[in-house]
Amino acid sequence: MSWALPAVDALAARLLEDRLVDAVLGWARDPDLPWQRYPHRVDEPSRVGELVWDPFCAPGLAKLVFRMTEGGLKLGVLARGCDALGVWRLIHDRRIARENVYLLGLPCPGMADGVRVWEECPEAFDAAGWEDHGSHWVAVPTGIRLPKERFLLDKCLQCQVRWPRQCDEVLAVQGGSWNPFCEDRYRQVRQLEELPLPQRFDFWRGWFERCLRCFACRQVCPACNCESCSLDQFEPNWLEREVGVATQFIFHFTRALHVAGRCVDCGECQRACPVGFPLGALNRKMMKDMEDLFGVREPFVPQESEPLGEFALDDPDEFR
Amino acid sequence: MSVREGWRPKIVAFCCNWCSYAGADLAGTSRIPYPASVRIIRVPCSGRVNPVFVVRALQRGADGVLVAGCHPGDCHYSTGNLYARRRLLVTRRLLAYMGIEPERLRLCWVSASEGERFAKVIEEMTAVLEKLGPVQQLREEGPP
Amino acid sequence: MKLVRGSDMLRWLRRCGEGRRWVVPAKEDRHWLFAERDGPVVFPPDYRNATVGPKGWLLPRSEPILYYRWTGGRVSVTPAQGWRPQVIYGVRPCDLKAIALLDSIMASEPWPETQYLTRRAHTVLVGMACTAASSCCFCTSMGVHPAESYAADLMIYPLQGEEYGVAAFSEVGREWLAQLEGEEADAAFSPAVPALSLPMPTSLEDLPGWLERRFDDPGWQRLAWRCLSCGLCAYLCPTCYCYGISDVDRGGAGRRVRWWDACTLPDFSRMAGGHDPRPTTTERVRQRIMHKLAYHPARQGEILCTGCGRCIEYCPMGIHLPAALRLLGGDGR
Repeated sequence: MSWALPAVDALAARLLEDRLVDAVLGWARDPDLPWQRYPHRVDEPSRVGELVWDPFCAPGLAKLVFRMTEGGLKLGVLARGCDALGVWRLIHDRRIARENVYLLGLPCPGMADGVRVWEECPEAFDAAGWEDHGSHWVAVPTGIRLPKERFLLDKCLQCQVRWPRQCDEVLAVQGGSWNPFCEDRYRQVRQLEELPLPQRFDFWRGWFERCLRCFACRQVCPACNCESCSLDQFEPNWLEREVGVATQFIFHFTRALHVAGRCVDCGECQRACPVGFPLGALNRKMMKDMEDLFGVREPFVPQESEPLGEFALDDPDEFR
Repeated sequence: MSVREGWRPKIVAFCCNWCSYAGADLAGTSRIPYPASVRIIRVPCSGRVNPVFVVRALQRGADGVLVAGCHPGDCHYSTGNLYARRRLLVTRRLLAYMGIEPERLRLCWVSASEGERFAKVIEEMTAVLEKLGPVQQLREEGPP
Repeated sequence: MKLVRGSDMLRWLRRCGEGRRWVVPAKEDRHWLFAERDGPVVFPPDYRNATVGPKGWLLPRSEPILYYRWTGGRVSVTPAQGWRPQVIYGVRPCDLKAIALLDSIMASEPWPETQYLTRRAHTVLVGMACTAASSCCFCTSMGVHPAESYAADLMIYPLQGEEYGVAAFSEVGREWLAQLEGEEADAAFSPAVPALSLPMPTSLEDLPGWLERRFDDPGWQRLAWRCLSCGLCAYLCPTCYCYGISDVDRGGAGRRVRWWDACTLPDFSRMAGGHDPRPTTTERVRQRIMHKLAYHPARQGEILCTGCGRCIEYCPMGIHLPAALRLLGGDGR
């Protein structure tokens, strides 16, 4: 079984023809940059051929669904596990009406870092299609093998939802297998927890100095969907516009706490950050604490209620 | 970590209006001695305390933050203190993860009749902070 | 041009730059950034350009402008002193051109930016001509050349192996070069060819007019609907210079701070009372591109894009200049 783009096209076309949705959101090839796929919306069945599904569909779609469905548009979404959970985050936050989205689940083999592939193996982009061979993506018909170990996007290394969950329909296409790169998703968190306290602070301070505070991490995040963000307010001025250790601490501390118990671990913040700030290490710390402290299983799966929106009488008390 | 000459720890205490604030009052009217290191801010409920308050206090001069609320079951708003406990548990762990001594944040239950207890908490916390010394990591630069 | 071996060149630079802060491209965890180091370094072959350019060392991400204190109903003000003599080393021609553009913008009357200009006057720029293109750069499409010196005081041209050519382009540069022992020669340098060539719909001179005529083009919406309103493109851009000013007040005393702003952020053009002349991403993305390619060239005669390619490489949603030109030209989806 190949990667089956025709199956994706056919289903998208059917949804549009049957008027189940007004538009389908997926990815398209960038005509200028061979390695890039950008989010793309198709409104007519005759144009589903513009959609693409291959190892280079890096952008997450969930945050776009939020704005697109605001006016009542019914949207079909090509959704990998991460996209689906992001959309569900927005549904539970009452930002997307459940009836306005139709989730077309795509089992995902993990996505490649397109620029790196382009730099190291540009001929890979001559492929007509792709197959998932577990540890490699294999181009059809050229037979070029791209090792995932080398080219997998950071966000996909840690993925636990290659099989799309909570979708309306899941396409029988390749992918969705167990992710061998994610044996211990809290590995980095544990490493940091074990550092002596001053070194922990130095670790973060080093990153604070690099963070440009461009807010790309916040803007791509499906859990960051507040009407107006406290970090943008002037009155009260939670976050000074000034950029220094103190304000960067506030920024990253606040961002992490505001997605605590709500983050779906889609890794989009990590992908969007131009300087590689380890946002995932903050998000996963929060997840780990949700598990450790409150016994939340799979803290990255959105639920009707959130761990920090409830309490238990026997919650641990560590304050002495 | 060298402690400045003459330095005394400062504690910002967010006290719930219905229990702990009255408890602190009782400590005063009962003439119970306790360290003068505490600055009390009255809040309607311990659940009112935004974790950012904690960081802000540490950045602007406090060496420790105490959040004092009603005992579980006694909350004027039924459960505000229990939400606060969850939130501040996570806050405390995140502070530690980002390199701030977790002992600088404490949550405790003090009822209106527990003046002694309030004094004891402040005493304990002052002792802990004396050992830790002033906050080194987060102080913002002041004007020259 | 003087010819010199790499190790001799570094020794010479280090000597000339004594007492100055060295700002050099440094690789930290897969990303190249300009960072403070002891001195100049030899670049490994994978260095093309830094993710974050040298802009922040001339126009910091945020900086105090002045300190104030109220006493007895009167305010006393102390101007901030925010500069140190520095050498910025290994700057690529696209970034050098960008600094030249910033120089003229910051010096423009009636309100020259004294802090920028002071910092700039105490900066020696050592440029490095390009021998390899990064995957997204397109300088020649913007009329920028990968071996040109622009704002540089000194230019380094990597020749074969360990050999480098060095040339001076300013008073300081000539002073420094006079101290370099090396053979005076004309060496042929063949610069890298940029990775991308933009689908230019018209000549660079006609571009402002071409864009102005497409102000209401539906192509803007087809490009900008997926913009997420972050400030990444503007902050990585070597020529984006918009800033905001606010006071950090600490009860009777404080500081006035200037910080980078970005026209792509949702609150950039929001006014008191709530009106926003650029309410959606369509207007904001259009503003950013029009400012660079139409408004600024029309006023100052210079395009405000030097083809470094950072916005192309790092935009998380794949919004970029080639796509804009294609969509506005009526070609595309």
